Order: sequence, then structure tokens, then C-alpha cells
Amino acid sequence: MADQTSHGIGGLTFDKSKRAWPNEANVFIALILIILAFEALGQILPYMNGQSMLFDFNTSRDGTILNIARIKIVILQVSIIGIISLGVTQVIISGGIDLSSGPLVGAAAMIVMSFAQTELVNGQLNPKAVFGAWSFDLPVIVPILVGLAFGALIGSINGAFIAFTRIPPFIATLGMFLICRGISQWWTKGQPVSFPTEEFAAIGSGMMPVVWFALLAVLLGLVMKFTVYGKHTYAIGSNEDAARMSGINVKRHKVMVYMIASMFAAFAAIILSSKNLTAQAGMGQFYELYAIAMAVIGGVSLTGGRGSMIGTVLGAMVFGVIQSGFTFIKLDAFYQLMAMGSIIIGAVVLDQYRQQRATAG
Amino acid sequence: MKKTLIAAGIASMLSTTAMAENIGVSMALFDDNFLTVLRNGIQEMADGMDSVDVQIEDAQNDVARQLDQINNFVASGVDAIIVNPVDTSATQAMTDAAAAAGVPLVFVNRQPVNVDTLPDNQAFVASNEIESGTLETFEICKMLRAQGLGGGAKAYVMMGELSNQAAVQRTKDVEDILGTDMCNFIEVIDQQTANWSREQANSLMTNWLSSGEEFHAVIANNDEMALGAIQAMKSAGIDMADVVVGGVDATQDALAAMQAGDLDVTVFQNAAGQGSGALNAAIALANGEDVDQKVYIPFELVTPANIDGYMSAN
Amino acid sequence: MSEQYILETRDLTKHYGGVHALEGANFKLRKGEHIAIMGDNGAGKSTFVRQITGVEQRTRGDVIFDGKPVHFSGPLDAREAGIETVFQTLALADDLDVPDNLFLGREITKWNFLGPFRLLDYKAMRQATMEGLEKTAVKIPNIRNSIRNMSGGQRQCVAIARTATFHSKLTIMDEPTAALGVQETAQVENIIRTLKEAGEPLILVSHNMRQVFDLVDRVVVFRRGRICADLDIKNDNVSGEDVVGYITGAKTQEGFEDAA
Repeated sequence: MADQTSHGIGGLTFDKSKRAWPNEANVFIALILIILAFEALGQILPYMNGQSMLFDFNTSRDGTILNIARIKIVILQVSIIGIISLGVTQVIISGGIDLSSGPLVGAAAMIVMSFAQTELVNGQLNPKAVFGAWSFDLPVIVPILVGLAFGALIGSINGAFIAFTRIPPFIATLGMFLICRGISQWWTKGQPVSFPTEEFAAIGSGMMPVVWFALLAVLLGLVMKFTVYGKHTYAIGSNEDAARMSGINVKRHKVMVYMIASMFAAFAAIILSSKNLTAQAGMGQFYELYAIAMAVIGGVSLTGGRGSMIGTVLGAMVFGVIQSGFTFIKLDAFYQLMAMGSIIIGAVVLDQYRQQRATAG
Repeated sequence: MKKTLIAAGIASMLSTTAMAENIGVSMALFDDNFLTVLRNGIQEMADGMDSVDVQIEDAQNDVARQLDQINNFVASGVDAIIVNPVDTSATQAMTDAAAAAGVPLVFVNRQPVNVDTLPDNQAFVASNEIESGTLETFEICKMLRAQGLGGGAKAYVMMGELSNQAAVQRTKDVEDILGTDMCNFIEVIDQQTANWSREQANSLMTNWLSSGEEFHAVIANNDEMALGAIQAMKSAGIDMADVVVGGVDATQDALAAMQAGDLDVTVFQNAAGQGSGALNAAIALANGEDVDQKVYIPFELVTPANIDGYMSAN
Repeated sequence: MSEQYILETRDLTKHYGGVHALEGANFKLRKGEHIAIMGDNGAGKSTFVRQITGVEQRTRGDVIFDGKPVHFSGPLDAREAGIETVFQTLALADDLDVPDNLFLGREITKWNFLGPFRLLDYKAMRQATMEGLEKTAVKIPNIRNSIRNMSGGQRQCVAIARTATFHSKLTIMDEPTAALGVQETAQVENIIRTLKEAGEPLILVSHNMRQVFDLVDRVVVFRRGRICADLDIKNDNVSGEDVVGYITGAKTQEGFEDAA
């Protein structure tokens, strides 16, 4: 395209038509389209009797024409994995990947819940107690700190291996995936841990998971945009050699990136076990994949250097809408997984197509 | 084949002289609550017996892995094998592998498809999944009638992981019972899977609630999902006295919920009974004794009326 | 006498085991001077550059920068002392914009007590970027768009502008236009002329004879690890063929017989 140079003095021009249409806008449009698709199905499919997914014209229920309950569940059901996805997003932006989040949630939940036990259940002694009497009714900050510390530990091990050896992040975190799975099963030999204190149960109760998700999204979003940490993360993902030659301590930064990701996953585990009043060894299954999918749908580039927290939040909401949409149209359970997988592939292909058109034009 | 028989024979002679029975156990899953109780039951019982050693492996829900484990057990010369099948329709291969080596095999907890053609040195100890869903649904049906809803009632059905025979059978039980004259006043609004998980059941129930449809019962394939549904309903401000909720397993968490008045029906599956039955059968077969080839440990209905007997069972 | 030299090396030597990659290099660069380093592949040009920028540790010899003997333990030390290098393969991050790239690794920040989470002072960095671009007469209509959309020549200009922004005392360019087209090469050479007018010293490593004769004051030729010629091409009667002769070894300048 037009590339003028001016005489004599070195000139650079910039082609304004190539100015990037923000990726997040594409995701938002996709979200709207999916909602419209489900609304349309609600009208078209005969057994649906013309229902609407997001609107509820029986205003006596909520006081508005919106189906507040549905809107709430759309976001609520993806908040926990959404929190994991925030942490994973910055790992992918830095050029890496983290496959260990799912089992880490399981292991962290087991460990955290063991420190959050309450003594009396319906007037009787807690039948699921892991440790002795000293562990009952501890102040709620104790299980939280234990969980975050566990996350920090796992994350720093991940980061150390990836930064200081040549092991690819895929393999290193895959190994940690298996280790954490083992930990979650070994902790109580497979027995679930239940019956937490009321303070602990409050952390993840009601709409709190959404609140936490929103807070963490804003916090991490600000960090990625306005701090040196965020800028260096983008730089390392974009061109690791350039970052190193510019004096950035790439190794130390990578350790931090993985630590933060695992701490986010540990926090998700705290909320998950609090919300469900239990910790089970099998918790978190497939979470790492869903977290990555949310980030990718939200526009993060798997080669690094590009992505944002807003995109990831939108990606999470796409998941939420699809999940609720399936239940809304009473899609047969057998088709749901296939449909979800197809939508994810379709969304990414569409996004790549749009990006190619933007740079080629 | 002859060599394997001789090797197995020598191995079993050696173990007899050393007075220790080696039993290999392959569990379908390690992180399933019910199977954990069963597994622990086998382990504890073996620990309590001087001459019995068990080696327990996790098949991680993978049919191929389980067959490998059985072949490994045969190769290491165990005296008997206990199998908790990942897939009950894939058991013929396991039967054949053990029979070829002359190693006794006992299926536990899940009924193998070839249960009627088992060789003499193989047996099966389980509970019949036809009972579980039937007991649960029938009780719910009675409760709804007692509430005066005999003219018409609506229910949601929550299924377990669709690749599990237990989920499939229990769901079929629900359908069968709801098809009878006595219970066909109950209409199923929707049935979906929550994969045995409390968290997924919570989300699923909340989604159902947001459609605003009236309902009177939730029939879940297991306790964890029932508990998830209860949490969702309580979050929405629904009084649990107005809804009949049923599950299966009678776990500690479920019994606590029943005491609190939230859960109405559950079904006890005697994990310890199945485990000890299987171990005893395995030891007997290893010693060349005769055993009953099919042992059914009954499911037991648990309601607030008889809950006290089950508080420490699982 | 030494104040007029921005860089001087004495007997600079580098051995890699038994390989004498650089031997006894005596090099002088005056302030405001532009020198081209030329030589065949393996002649020792890149080795020389690596020693003076601190990428490697020299085996023997002295380096005197801005009047003081120096010993750089790494490239960052050299950068801090005021030596800026523009590489053939750019040290730029494609997805970041111009100020981000200029200030990569030495960002202007606020609230430094937050450590790695200290805040970026975007306003100050944009300001300094505009000044640096003006100084090198590089025109970019919108510095906030990512570098990915710029052409190779434009990006190289940004890399050069980086040196001006940080008040470097010495710029070293290693084959800066080797990967560029004709028009883009012209752009970069214009900027080099701007640097000359501003009195900034430059060491240019280049294979391009036309470029060398257009831009620099002196040519230093390396052959087989040693300096074999030091030519004042502005004043003396030196032709391109002469230089080629020195590079290939057909000729040797007086005073540099050991390199023969």
C-alpha cells in the first residue's frame, strides 16, 4: 500500500488503514451472534414454544424484562474456570503454556479443605476430618494462605524447570499435571474432604465467584497494561531474544509468570471447594483445557505476544452462553460435547481468518 | 500356554509354601468416592489377614489399561485377580486372559456382560444396578403421592457420566418406574448429565431454575449430584421441604444433608460388603475351593426413617 | 591527546581455544568520526565488535572508552556506558509499539517501591520517543501502533532511533541494511547522515562498498584476525578496487605487514 518517503531526511510513514481493529471487538461480536443464534432456536424449534433465553416478559418474576436468573448463571458457571483462565492467559502471552491447572485445582482443593474443617456437623463430630482436633475451625485466612502457598510452590517449580532447562513448557507442565493428580489422590487416599467452616463457605457462596472473577480480571488487566511486569511479559512472548538483549531477566520473569498462573488456579480451587462445601480428588478435570480454550477464543495468540484480560473474560462468557444455551434448547446430552468442540474450533478459525485479512489487505 | 500354566502352578505352590496369597486388584477409578470405600475395604481386610497381600492398581477409566494390568498380574504370577471393570461389556477379553493362564478372577461391583458363561474359577460379586434406580424412584413416587400430587407432578432427572453402565442403568430404572401405572403421573421435564459432579449439578440445576418452570422432584443418579442440585435450589431460595430430592450411594455428606432435611431419598450400596465378598471369593478360588459364581449384595433404601443405621457405614 | 578519541583499543586479542580469531588489534575512533569495518567472512570483524560491546571477554589487550579503560562484563554494561548497538537481526518486539520498543528494559517508571509491578510512565516515554525520532529525523505518524505493521526499513530506523534517545556516546551498526530493499536502504542511510551531522561517532560493519564510500570517513580492513589497512577515504586517493585488494590480501598497507 502507499508507502511514501520524503526527500532527504529519513522518512517513515504509517498506513492508517492497517491500524488494528481490536481483537476483543471480534469476540464481542461473536458473543452477540451466539446469543442471537440461541434466541432464534428458541423461536424456531417447535418444542420450545417460542421461549426466549435472555428475556423474560413475565416481569413479575424479576421486575425486569431480562431473565436475571439466566444472566446470572451464565456468568456464574464459568467464573471459577475463568479465574484459572486469567492466569493462563498471561502464561500464553509470555510464549508458554500451562497444562497443569486442572489437577492443581484438585490437589489444592483437597489440601485447602483439610485446613478449613469445622468441628460439628449437625451436632456430631465431623466425619471427614483429615487432621486432628487442632485443625478444626481455624481462622479462614489459614486455608487461604495454605492454598496460595501451594499454588506458588507448584508454579515456581514449573517456572524454574521451564526457565533454567530446555524442557518445553508443554512437557514440564504435563509432568506437573500428573504429579498434582497423584497428590490429589494420595492426600486422603481418595476420600473426599467435606464440611467446612461457615466463614470458608462464605468465600464462594452465592454470586461471590463472579465478584472474585471480576476483581481479579480488573487487577490483572491493570497489571498487564500499566506495569513493567505486564510489558515485559508481552515482550518476552513477542521476541524473547530481543527482551533478553534489552536487559530483561527473562529467566526470573518466567518463574514469576508461572507462579502467578498457579496461584490463580489455587485461588480458583479455594472458591470451588468453598462453593461446593467439599473437596474431591477428581475435581478440576478438564479445567486446564477449558481455561486455555477461553483464552484462545478471547483472542490470545498461542505463539505469544498478544492477548488481553478483557478478551479472556469475553471468551469465558462465550463458554457460559453456550453452556446455558444447550440446556435452554434441551440439547441431548450426547451431542453437547461434540457441539462445544465444534464451536471452539469454528471460533478460532473465524478469528484467524479475520486476522489474516487484516494484515494482508 | 502350557508353560504359563506350569509357571502359574509353581508360583501358586511357592506362595502356598510361603503362606502368602498374592491378589492383584484392578480398580476402574481411584478418585470415585464409592469405589474408594470399596478399595479401602479390600485393603483393610487384607491388612488384617496375615497371609494375604493385595496389590491395587488404578485403571483410570481406561479399558485398554485395565486389560494390560490384568496381563501384568498374570505375568507376575498372582494367585487371584479381582477386577472392578471399567466397561462391563469389555469383560470377555479379561475372562479369557485369566482363564488361559489358569488364574482365578473375581469381578466386583459392576456386572460383566458374560456373567452367565464364566469359567469355573471365576466369580462375580456386586449389587444389581436395576435395584438402585428402582428403589430410589419408587420411593420418590410414593413421597409425591403422599404430598397429594397424584394428579400430576414434574421432575428433573440428572444422569451420571454417560459412559458408565451405572449411569445408564439407573437412568433406565427411572424411565421404567415412571412408565408404570402407579407412577406415570410424573412427567420428566428434562434429563441431562452432570457427570457425577457436585459442581456441574449445581450449575445444571441453576440453569434449569432460570427457565422458571414449576417442578416437584429431582431424581439424581448419585448423591454428589443430588447435593449439587440442593445447593443450587437453596441459593435460589427454594424451601427444600417443597421439593423431593433423591440420590444413590448414602455417602457421609448425603446423610448429613438428609439429617438436615434437604435430601429425601438415597440408596445404600454396601461397598464394604462387596469388597469383602470379592476378597473372600478370590482367596477361596485361589485355594481351589468351590464358590457361588454370582453373589448379589442387595442395595438398601435409606430415608429419614432408617437413617441411623447407616451413619457410619460408608 | 586521548580526549579526541571516543574509542581506542590496544593489542585487542581474542582466542577461542587454539583459534586466533582476533590478534593485536590497534584501533582508534575520533569523536564525530564515522568508520567502516570491512573484511571477508571470518576475518575478525564480528569478533572485534563482540569484544568491544562486552558480549564476550577478551583474551588480551586494552579497551579505552571515552578516555577511561573499561572492562565490560556483559552487553548491558556496555550499554550503560553509552555504547549502543544496532544488530542485523533486530532486537525489536513485533507486538509492541514504538515507545515500548525504544524503552524496552529501561522503562521510565513511577512508584518504584512496587518492584516488578511499578507503573509505566507512558507520557514521559512518549515524549522522549518523539524527541528521539526528531533527532534522527525519523517520521512516524502514529507511534502507538505496533511495529508489526511497519516494513523492514522502517523498523530498522526505529532501532537506530533508539540509540539517539539514550544519548549514546558511540553507535555500532552491524550490517544494518543487509536485509533491506533499495528504498529502505536509502532511508537508513539518510538517518546515518543525520547522525553524522549531529556529530555522533559511528562504527559501521558493512559489505556494501557503495554504501561505505557514500557514508564514512575511514575504512579499517580486517584480514585473518588482524587489521591490515586503515584508509582515509575522504582525503586520500583510495578506490573501491583498492579496498577489495586489501580485503583479499592482494595488497597490504605499509605499517601493517604482520597481517600479510
